[in-house]
Amino acid sequence: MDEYIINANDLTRYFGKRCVISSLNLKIPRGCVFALLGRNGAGKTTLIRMMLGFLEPTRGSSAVFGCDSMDLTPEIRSRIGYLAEGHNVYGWMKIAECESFQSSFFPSWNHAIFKKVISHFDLDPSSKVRELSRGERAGLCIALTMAQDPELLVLDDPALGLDPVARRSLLESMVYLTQKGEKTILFSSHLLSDVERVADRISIIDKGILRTECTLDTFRRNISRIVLHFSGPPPDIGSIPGLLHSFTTENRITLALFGYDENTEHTLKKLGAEKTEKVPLSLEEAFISYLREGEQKSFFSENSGDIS
Amino acid sequence: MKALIYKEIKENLKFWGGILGFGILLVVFYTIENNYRSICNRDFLAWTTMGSIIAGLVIGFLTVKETFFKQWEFFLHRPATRTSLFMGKIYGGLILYFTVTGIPFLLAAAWSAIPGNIAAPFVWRMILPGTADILMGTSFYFAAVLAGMTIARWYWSRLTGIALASVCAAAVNAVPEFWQALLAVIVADAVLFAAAWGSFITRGTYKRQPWISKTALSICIIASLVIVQCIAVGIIFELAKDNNRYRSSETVWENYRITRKGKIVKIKRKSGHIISITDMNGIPLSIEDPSGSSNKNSQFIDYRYISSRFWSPSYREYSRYIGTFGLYGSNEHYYFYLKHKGYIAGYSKETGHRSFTAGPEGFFFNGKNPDTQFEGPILNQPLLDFGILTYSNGVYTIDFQHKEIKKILGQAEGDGPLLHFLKVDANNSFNYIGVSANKIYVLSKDRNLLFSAPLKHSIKEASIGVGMIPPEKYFIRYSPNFYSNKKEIQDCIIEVDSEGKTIGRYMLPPLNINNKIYEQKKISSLFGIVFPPGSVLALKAGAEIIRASVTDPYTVYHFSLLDKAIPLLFYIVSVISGLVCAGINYMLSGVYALDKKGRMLWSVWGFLMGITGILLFLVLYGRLIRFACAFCSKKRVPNRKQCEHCGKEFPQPEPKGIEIFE
Amino acid sequence: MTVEITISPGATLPIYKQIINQVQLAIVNGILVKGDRLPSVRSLAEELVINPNTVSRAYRELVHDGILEFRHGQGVFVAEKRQIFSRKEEKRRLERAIEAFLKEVLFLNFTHTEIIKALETRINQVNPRNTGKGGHNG
Repeated sequence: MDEYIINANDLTRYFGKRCVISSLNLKIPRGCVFALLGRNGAGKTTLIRMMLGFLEPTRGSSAVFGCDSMDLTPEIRSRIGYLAEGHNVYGWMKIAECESFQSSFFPSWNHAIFKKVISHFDLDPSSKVRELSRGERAGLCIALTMAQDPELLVLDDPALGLDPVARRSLLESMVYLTQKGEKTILFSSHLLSDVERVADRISIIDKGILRTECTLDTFRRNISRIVLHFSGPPPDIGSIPGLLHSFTTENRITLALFGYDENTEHTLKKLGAEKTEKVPLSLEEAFISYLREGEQKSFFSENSGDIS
Repeated sequence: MKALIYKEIKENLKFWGGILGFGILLVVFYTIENNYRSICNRDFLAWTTMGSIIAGLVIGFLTVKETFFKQWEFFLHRPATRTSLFMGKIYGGLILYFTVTGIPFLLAAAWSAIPGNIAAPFVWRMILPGTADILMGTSFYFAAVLAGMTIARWYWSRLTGIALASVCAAAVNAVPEFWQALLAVIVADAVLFAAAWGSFITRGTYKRQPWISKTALSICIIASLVIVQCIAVGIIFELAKDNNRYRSSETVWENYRITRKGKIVKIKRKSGHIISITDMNGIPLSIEDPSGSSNKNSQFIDYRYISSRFWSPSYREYSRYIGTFGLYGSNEHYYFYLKHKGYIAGYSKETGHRSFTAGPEGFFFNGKNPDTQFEGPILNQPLLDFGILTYSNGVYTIDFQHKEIKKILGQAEGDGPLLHFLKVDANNSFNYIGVSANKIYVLSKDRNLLFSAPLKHSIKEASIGVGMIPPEKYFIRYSPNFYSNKKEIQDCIIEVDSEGKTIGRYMLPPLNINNKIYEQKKISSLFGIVFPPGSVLALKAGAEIIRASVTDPYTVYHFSLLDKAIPLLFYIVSVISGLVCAGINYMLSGVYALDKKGRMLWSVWGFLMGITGILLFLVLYGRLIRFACAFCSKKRVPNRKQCEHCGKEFPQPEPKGIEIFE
Repeated sequence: MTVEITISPGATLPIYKQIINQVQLAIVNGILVKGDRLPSVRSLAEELVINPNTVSRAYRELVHDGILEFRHGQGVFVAEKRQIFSRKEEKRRLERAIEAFLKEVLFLNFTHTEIIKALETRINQVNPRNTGKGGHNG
């Protein structure tokens, strides 16, 4: 139990007739930087809300620090830092008032960290929250969460709406946190380059179903892109094991494949390509290919070879 | 906790607190200025009611505004139990509420207490009605908190708490005693607090709430459903009602009258017309009727009754604390009877200060108080009774213009205090009747004592009427009232002379008063459908309580007749409808896959509450979503691991594509 | 001497591999010599704003391949000069560079002889020592 900070079991959530999260099993190990990936509306925020006890699952359960999510004790909540979606705080408060409000609740408040992060984002403690821009508000929320000195940090789409400098500051804060002993970070993001920088493990949720949960490296290793060159028009692809998607053009087929082994090589040879090229993929390309599984596109221009 | 309370107050005080407080202050002073009833005047109290309701609702919604501004998770995620967070909010909200409502009110009270501001005396107990209103506003506060928390399935379900709070507001305004108003507030607050607390800690979902909150929430919903049902039933009743449906036109009324010649007769009436005139024993008589009118009423003298109907003003009335005299007599002064002091005070409208006092011995000026006092409360309301004041120790005329007091009737030798004194409207020459425990006094129009006589029965035991044939024939009529022990009190007429000596005694055979005023109509049994057994029991219990507390015999008498008018079929229909609703609830709870205990419980509620029980279930459990089971193809609910029909679990979802787990 | 390591996330090469490459190149080019201390895992992670585990992984592989050595309590150092790349890998890199070079020059109006002469001249200018075989195992 101690090995996994968050343990979700058969988590299911319906909104009316719509199943938003379906039988999700997830274990997040201690000390890990865990990225939650998925398309918009895949269910990431719903999942986080259920894991932190803000939303009741229709079925299934989850536990944080060994305690059931719906009954998180105050002691356990003090060990969790949570940055909710939207960076919402009380608009009427000044930044300094935010800090005194929060610090009165959290016993291990670290004022030095708060000051450091605030200055990092260039914020003035006497300004009112409603006067702050999106990025500044995000900085405030990050400061408030970090200053708690939490064991588990949960960030729901923390980089949303942030300019590149603010995003960088966020990443630096996350890296800083990982330096300080066994801290666990769970965050959701759409920016795969940022994910690549800091994540140990990733998980991908696709329409409420967990499709991937592995290390970053495993994910990348398993997805490859093959380009087949043909002298004439390319043949029909047929069925290739592990095919994610294909793109056919005049005399070329580009394939995104999962798990390239001898079997796959053998099948590809059968297509009779003149030249076979294995092209390296970035994480973002791999991610997009993975989520586009089943797509078979083709493009033939009307006047091939004609440049007007 | 302290930081939370501080934050709650600070968040709302500047803007909302200021607006509400200032608004209330303005209105409050507007309504008490120049009103001699000061903080007990109707306008003021209307505003304390409205102001408390508005303040309660606004501050209640403000308390949970995080739910509207998406700050809910930020607020909840901190190392404190939800209950302590709830309590912090409530303390802050209530402090704000009492500040906003209490300060203007206390300022108003203090202002009116200062002599000279209002031309009226001030008694501290006059703050009771306003205080009751302010306390009542807290139930709207909790109702608004509840409304802000509940995930509304249908829009009106947000208002369930407000319905209960409205009942509380109505009760506070309607009950006669302050302690009863306090009780209403405490009960409503307890229920609404429990419901709000339960909703807060589960953010509106129903299933996980502690049982006490579920019960409280159910009470709120029941209250609003019952109100809606009452309105519906009332409308149906009004539309379906035939005016004479329950008052039978076949009813025959009997009474004893005295002719102008002094003869005692028994008359029977039907539909307002006299149908027979007989003597005491039933032998028909013929009476000359020179006027030729079929009514024949003019041949008889009228009794005037003195009733034992003591009317006590409610705690909300000014006259509960200070008797008032209004404006008559002078345009320069207001006059008041200070019950607790036993004398009258006059206040100058111009200066607002007390100008004089008056006691049984006369008027006193320059700040002097009378030496002797009037005893007891005023026995009648003198507003209509020009210049007559009645107290236990005597009847006085008071002339405010000439500043004179004269006693016209005192406590006689050997007699007890006056119990009642009344001006009666008569075309005879007597205009006033007074009774003590033992004697009756009758005065003429000029306020001279015509006669006084010993009473055969006291006013508590019998209904007493006085009739007169000028110049000196007097009759006293005794008849049993609702409280009488019928064996002891018999209908009789006593004839007395002007000395009060009995000169004739006529015992009258008992009248047939068991008229079927209310007939049993079979069709009323249909109402059994909307009155399930639980409501029948509740109504019966309520009727018993009213019967025990109401002193008006007429109302009580009709209550018992109404009771008899309900046919047995009504109860049978009620029980059948209860059983049907129980069955429906049993089926519904089965469809929603509740466990055995839950199903039995809901069947019981269905039986007791009928349609309300069904609606309650639907409101609490919401829309049913079901899916076809993959194994047995029957529809099953999604929130149970095992299918309720075949026991198989939900299958793992079909993978949407290649999966990577490592 | 110190090495300037930069990474670009979103590239087709994983970050840890980018680090490994840059360390290898630095050693090959003589920017890093035997005994040089590399930045600690923490400091490099903080500088590059990446997960320290990524840095650890890169260092671990380099240590495993014998290119770096781990001195207890002191950090990671450049090891004895050893063969950085396997022969196979070297051949592969050479072929790749030749492909890129040829893609550039074959368009131009030079004869093959001219191209080879220009190449020879330049290579002798830049790296005069390595005219023959030597410096690594066969």
